[in-house]
Amino acid sequence: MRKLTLWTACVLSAGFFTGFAVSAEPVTVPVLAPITGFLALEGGAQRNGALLATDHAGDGIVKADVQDTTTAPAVAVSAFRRALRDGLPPAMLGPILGSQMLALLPLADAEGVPILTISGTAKLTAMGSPNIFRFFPGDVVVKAAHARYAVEDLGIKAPAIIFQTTAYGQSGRAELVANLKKLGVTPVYEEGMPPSAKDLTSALAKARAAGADGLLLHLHGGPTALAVRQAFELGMNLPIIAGSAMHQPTTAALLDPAMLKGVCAESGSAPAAEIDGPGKTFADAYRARFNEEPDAFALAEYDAMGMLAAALKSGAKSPADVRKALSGMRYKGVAMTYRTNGRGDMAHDAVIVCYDGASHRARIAKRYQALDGVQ
Amino acid sequence: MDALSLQLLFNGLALGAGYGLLALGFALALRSAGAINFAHGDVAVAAAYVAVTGGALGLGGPAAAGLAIAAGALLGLSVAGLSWAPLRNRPIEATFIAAIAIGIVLQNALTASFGGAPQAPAQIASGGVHIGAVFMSWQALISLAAAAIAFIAVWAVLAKSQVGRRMRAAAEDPEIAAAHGIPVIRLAILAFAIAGALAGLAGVLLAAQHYATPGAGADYILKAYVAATAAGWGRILPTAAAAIAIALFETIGAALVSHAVAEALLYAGFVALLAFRPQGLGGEAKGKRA
Amino acid sequence: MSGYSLHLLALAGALAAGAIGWQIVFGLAGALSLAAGMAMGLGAYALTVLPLSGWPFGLALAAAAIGPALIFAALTGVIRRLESHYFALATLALAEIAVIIATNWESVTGGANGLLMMPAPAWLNSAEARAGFAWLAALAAAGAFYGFQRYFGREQLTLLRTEPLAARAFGIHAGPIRVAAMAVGALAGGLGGAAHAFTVGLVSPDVLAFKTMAAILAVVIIGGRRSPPAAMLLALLVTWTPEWLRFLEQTYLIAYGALLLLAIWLAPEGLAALLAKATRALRLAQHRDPPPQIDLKPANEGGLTAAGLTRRFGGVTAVSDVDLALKPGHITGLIGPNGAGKSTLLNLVTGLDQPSTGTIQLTGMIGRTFQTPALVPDLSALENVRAVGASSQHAWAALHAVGLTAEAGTSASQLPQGAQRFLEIARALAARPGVLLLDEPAAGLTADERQHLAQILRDAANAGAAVLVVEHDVPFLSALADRMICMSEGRVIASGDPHAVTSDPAVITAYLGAPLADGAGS
Repeated sequence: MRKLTLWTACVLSAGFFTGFAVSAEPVTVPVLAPITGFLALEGGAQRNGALLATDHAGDGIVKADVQDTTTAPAVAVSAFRRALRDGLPPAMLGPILGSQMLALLPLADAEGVPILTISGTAKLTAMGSPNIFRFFPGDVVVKAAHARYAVEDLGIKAPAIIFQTTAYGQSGRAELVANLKKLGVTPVYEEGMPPSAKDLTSALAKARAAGADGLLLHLHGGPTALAVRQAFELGMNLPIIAGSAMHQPTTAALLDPAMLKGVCAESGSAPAAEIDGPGKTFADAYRARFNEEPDAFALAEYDAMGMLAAALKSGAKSPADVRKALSGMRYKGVAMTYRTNGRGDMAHDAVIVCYDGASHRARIAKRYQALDGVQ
Repeated sequence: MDALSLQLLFNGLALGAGYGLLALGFALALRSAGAINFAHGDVAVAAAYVAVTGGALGLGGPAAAGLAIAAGALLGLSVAGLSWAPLRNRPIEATFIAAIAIGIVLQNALTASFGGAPQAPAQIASGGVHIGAVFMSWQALISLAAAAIAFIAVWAVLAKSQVGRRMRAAAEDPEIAAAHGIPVIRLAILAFAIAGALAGLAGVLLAAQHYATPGAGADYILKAYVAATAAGWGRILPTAAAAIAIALFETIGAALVSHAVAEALLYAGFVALLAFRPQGLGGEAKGKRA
Repeated sequence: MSGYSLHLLALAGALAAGAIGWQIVFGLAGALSLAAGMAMGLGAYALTVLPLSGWPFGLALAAAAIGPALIFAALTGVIRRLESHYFALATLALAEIAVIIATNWESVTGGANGLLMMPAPAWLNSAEARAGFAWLAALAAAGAFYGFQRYFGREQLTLLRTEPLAARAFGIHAGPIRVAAMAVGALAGGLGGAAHAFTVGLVSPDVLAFKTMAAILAVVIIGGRRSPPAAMLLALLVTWTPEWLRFLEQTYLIAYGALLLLAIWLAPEGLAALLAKATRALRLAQHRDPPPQIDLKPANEGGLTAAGLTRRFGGVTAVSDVDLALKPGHITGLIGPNGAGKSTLLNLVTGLDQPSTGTIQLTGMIGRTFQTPALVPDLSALENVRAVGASSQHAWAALHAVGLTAEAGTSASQLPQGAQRFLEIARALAARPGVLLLDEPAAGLTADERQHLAQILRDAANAGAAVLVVEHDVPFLSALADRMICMSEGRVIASGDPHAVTSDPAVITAYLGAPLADGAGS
């Protein structure tokens, strides 16, 4: 096991070994993540991805200082200010929760510290901040994949959308509708679900009654599983393309494989579904270190820390250096190649995974590249 | 009724079985100990995680559920020992805060040990049966049966057994009951244990169908609290009935309007109800309030 | 101070303001509202949303305080009559509705993500200014607290919380005070919420969530229900403790919960109460010289006429077709076996209960005492008398009338049982009632005390009050009363001259042969 980890570390660090200036003292990078509260799953993935990346960056490069943000914007600001107590770090990794990132961005601009985030909230890179760098494809990107796969590959013409009334759900839903519109499709039914909703039968039935020929979900993990199960129980027989929650192995684990037949999901990446290449190598290293399956959030955080480490190795020291490096570099990460679109969107690729009904294991059904036209 | 209405009715009743069990335990502790146990929902969730762990260790669904009930009883005892017993002669808000503190500990202990991913305990039975166009999962049918048995058992114990009569006497007037040699404190602690066991059963049944996350208890306790108040403070079986009504409102109300509107209407309805019937639908259990 | 400390300081100030707002509602008015988080949320949204539609910052800030106050006044108006838990649930339901609206009304509130605040005016745009703003809000909240307490009277509010029935009998009504408390509390909470949003720079439904209410509960219950300084201290601790515990990493909130539990074990009535208890021995007993003596006469000449009073509870008729006439200067005795309807009749006459049929005509104020003394144990004798709204002069005169001036500074709970009865009478007298009603005033008194009691009641009648005495001690009453009424099973079975009534066969039968002349009293 130990041997395997070392071996993968070598392979992976080759990916971001672009410089030579190795300092003795590792640079401490604050990692702000919601490791408690309702986003603890994603926050935990953030933490693990960041920790694995610091391991793989090589000795003495970066050290992650993980701080919990809970799900309150106020606590995210506390964690941010705490991280700045002993001087300005060259950069920090921000929480996945959109409203927390919204609160942090003006502070990052005021202090001049770049924030690398994996939050999908569309607004973040539309505010003109020079300090935002988003390593998970934003809703603009993944929802394009979501809509295109539904319309172009599955031939859905009358989709129904069921979304969560959370930051994640509302932001995703807006982009999904916009992308469907570009493809000339209007949803026949939409409903927002509070995360506490325990029964989605009525929404599913209304979707069916509205003449939907496909279900587009944008829900958190538990509710996604509930929707898939209840659709199965109702015998709806409609194709389901879910949001990124369905690519998470923890979501699939809630369901019988038979219920998953024909269910697909969008995501930035799907490391647990990779069967070869660097994605598989990453997934194996992650499993060995944390004894759990990796998801796209862990990988995006891993790549973000990886690119930051590469920037530091190439000599960046100050926040301004890092900002410049991240804005100028192309970085070949594990999930994809990252480069900015000028507004801080670094990730432009997405995947669609589907389940075959025989196992909990998803397979990659389609890879989209440069969905927002950034080459 | 068309198939969809029947399906919604069935789903609502199955959900109501879980809510009802939860509210039953909440009202029992409320009545017997006068305690608003705000950790009750967290106890249910923690018990569900015990069932998840049991399943991971190879226990089948029924055995894991049994383990959850035992864990719930144990947690109920802990809640009594930590939040009620040391504070029972103090203002009632002290117990309220203590229970909230226990809830914080439980939620974060679950997050620290299990992570934030939703979990499903092993199903007691998988699959289901179609009756006409209505799908009834075995798990949902088991929930209904388990809740019915628990309701009848609690009613029988309270109404027919000596322990039940003593519990009611102790709840009615603790001082007089104590003067008659009834062990008021031990009975209240027993009520906490039974409440915990019911929460454990509710937790494992709800989680099997709706999954458990460390924070799910907050939503459960809200439903139990609303039910307990709407039914009349301290009335045990009406509280369970009110919880079932809430579940039906959630499924059928959502079908008539939408989930968000139904949820808002549920709360607005309670405010309106209380404005016209200041002591809930059933009136108060004890007429002691001056 | 680092930006980090200043940020925490600002969050603590905002929390303190919200908590003090809730102290007004729960600590002063005794209303268990669970909508304190909602008050903060309304303030937070007002200060964020209004400037985005062009309101100047100052005006938005005013709206953040006044808006929640008006909304809470209106909502509480609907639910003001509800008892403790029902009031709690109603407020919790309102708070939940607020969360649902904030989450789903995306075009205005920004939905679950929330809204970024417009950049503040430059002079306010610093960590120091944010902390200053928040603590000014906390101070303003404390000002609202003390202002509210002063306006409604500390003693009156205490009576209202501990003996709501007695308060009502003396014309202190919970409803309007509750509405006022919710409004003023929401004003303070709104300011706190505005400070919170200003500190974070963003508003989201998070601030409305129950955990804000839980934090406020922890601050007030562990700090002190009626102590703004304690709330400020606890707000600092509640804000800083999880931050101090961060070194524990994943388990830090478990430790926080455990500390919270420990704190409530140690100070279940609040740190402020603990401190007061600890320093009680150090403080000398308050002694104040009474002001020059004045006579205590009814404010207006009183009198009461009731006709055909009937009160039914379900199938039971507790009072049936009773006529009653109380004249100034006269003492009327009311006797009857247990369950005859005497206390129900008193409650009807004092307005604590409404008759099913019948009319009551009253002139002047009513003062009454209760079967079990309804005093506030923690208040001194003088404060207990003042609690019904009496002036200091009248309160002293009333204490003098019952012979308790030496005990003016002693808390009611420390007085012997007999003195407690006299204190209740003093309280009734202090309101300068035209009609004085006493429910078993002689119960538990010694023979000497009974004589004293008779003298007090005779003096009150001579001063012009119409006096009604309910009593089991028939010999005592026969000697005192000018006129006697006997009730049985809700009806008046005899009335007139005391000796005629006590020797009436119907009365003797009603008592089922119970000896009328043994003087056993209670």
